[in-house]
Amino acid sequence: MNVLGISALYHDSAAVLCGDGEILAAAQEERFTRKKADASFPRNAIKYCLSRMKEGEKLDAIVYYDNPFLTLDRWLKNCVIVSPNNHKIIEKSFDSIFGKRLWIHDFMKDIAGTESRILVCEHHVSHAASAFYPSPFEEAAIITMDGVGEWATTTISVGKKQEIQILEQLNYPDSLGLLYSAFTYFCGFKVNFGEYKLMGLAPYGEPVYYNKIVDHLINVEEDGSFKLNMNYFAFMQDEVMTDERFKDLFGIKRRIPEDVITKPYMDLAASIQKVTEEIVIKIARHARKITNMKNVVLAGGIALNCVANGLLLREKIFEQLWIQPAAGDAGGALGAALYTSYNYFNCNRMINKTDSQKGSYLGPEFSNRVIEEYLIKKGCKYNYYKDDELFDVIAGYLCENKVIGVLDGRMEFGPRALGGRSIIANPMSGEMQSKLNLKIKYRESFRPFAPSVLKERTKDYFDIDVESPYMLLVAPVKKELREESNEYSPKDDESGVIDLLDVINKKRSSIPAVTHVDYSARIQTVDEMRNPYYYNIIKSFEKVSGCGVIVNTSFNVRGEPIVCTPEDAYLCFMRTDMDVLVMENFVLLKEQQDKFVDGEDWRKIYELD
Amino acid sequence: MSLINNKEQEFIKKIADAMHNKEIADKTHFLENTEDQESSCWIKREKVKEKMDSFVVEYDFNNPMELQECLNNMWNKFYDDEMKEFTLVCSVAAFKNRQLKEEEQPISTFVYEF
Repeated sequence: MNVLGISALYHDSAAVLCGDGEILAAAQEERFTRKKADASFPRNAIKYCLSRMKEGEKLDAIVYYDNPFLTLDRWLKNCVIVSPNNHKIIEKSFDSIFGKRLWIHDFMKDIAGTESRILVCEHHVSHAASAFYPSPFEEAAIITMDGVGEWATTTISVGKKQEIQILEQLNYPDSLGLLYSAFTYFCGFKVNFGEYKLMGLAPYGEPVYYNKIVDHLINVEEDGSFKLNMNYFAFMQDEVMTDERFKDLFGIKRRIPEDVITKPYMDLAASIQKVTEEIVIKIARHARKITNMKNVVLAGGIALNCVANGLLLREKIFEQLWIQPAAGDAGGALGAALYTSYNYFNCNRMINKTDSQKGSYLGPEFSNRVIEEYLIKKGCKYNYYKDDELFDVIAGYLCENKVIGVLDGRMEFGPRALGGRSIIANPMSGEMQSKLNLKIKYRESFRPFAPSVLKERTKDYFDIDVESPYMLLVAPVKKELREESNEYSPKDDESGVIDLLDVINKKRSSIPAVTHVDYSARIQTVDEMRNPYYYNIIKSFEKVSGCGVIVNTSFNVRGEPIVCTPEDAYLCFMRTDMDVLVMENFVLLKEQQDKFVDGEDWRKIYELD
Repeated sequence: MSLINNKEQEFIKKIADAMHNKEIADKTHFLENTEDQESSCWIKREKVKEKMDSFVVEYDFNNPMELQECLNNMWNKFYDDEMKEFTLVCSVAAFKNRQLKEEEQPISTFVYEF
């Protein structure tokens, strides 16, 4: 049975193909259109997925990850509730709902053959399925948390073999995702894009606004359920997230995007992060109690808050934890396809104890032949290395503190680069964080980079005792590696003006490029089974340097989606101060290339996110 | 003076405003945040499950009558007869605004599209 799952028309469109319940292909539309978080119907991602269907086979169903009728119900009732102040919300969403979302079957029929079923799957069931089915568990508690689906914003379910039963839920407008987005907005970051920036900013601040949040904005019960005080939020009736009272409560104005980040905003970030973590922990405890399950799986946008995930792991409420790498809406396409496979078509669920998600390397790949054709066409200067030389060459460049773009194997599915489309560098260099931020990523200075560590060396560097192949867990850098003399304290500067560049560039450990100001790191453990190519790079680097860790950041500039094709990789390489580009067995050095004439000003193409 | 230019949008607003003004039910009924126990906001899913056939359903309509039938069926299952006041305008709005081709749209800067 071939089932194509689709997410679209909100943010982060994607397509996923499953064959008899096995994940065959998955990709986000943005990677093809080069438009960040592209919400349009994912024609290109669909085209790619269908190219991976076995020859001669047909598509049995296409399933959309949301039920448009239920969403219409919620939207109409929203209009009733906020009446008479509903004109903005009616105008804002009218075209999207009546012009597109209700007509999702039109888009799907374009792709479907006459024998394909056109289906829709409830949003949080799509999330739940994306978390449970690829996990190695036969049974698990399932927690999903996001902005909103149709009605649900948070669900607790039980997964058993191939059945999923939602036990409890919280409904709109009571939403942890919308709460976090409100703070994202207020701190001057873009909603749906900037939430992880808010998370990265939190360690710079103190949770001084915690009491204000829990006393005024949200009432949290001991079982993790909560209600928002809608007097402070505007999203039910307006185009903005927060009301004037929100500003008055904190005594500061909303930060203008790209303005200097001062301490009050760092404190807001710290405060909402603390509230979010507490809610997640309470929900987890409640889930353990009502499901009686020893394992838990997570999905929904909140599951991308890897700081909260790390805390959940350390609390040991559950014995084991698994998080869907594409925990946001793109993963909904995967969940919808899997749920349909197992429950609509009754495919038999084969539980893979190793990795059903296949490392999340589910996108397009490019052979050496295709890459070389491209390089010749572009007139690039390149070298070819066989496998027995290649990784030593790359390791050598890492030791020289070169910044290296890597394109190998199948593209990752989900927001994180996991070595398939990554920029890598030496984590031991004190200047690397600054270099990468300013010369390559062109992004705000406060954001840390993340480490990829050999799985067998993880405990030498980080306080974590489980694998983290998808970079969804934050854990502390081991005390022995830290430089406590450069410990950061938010109280050090009372002026409210903190030079973030100065703070982040202080050496805090023997791997400074991946150590955040609070000594935390967002870890990817790398093993040979999931990605032998990437594993061999790090292994070779360890051989010459003794260090089993490298910096891993996504292969893109700020505002750009992660690269997909050799062309995307080459353009990013030439537009930045990257030193080396590696595409499979081909290596390009910047100094050897001809002067690059850019056909367009990429700074104008990629809107700042 | 109307704040809305589009006829169907105006109708939706009219119905929503009239519904808001009617004392037909506690507004929390619409949001389904009924509490079964003290100190908890969790909604037991059994209640909702009764109203739905399945988490995955076939989805199709080809003319206004079919769309109206779908909407009315949904509101019947929810025991939401009042919501059927929206049925006609929703079907008109859908068929008048049907977009057959994807248009290039910029991503909103600060708007959470949901």
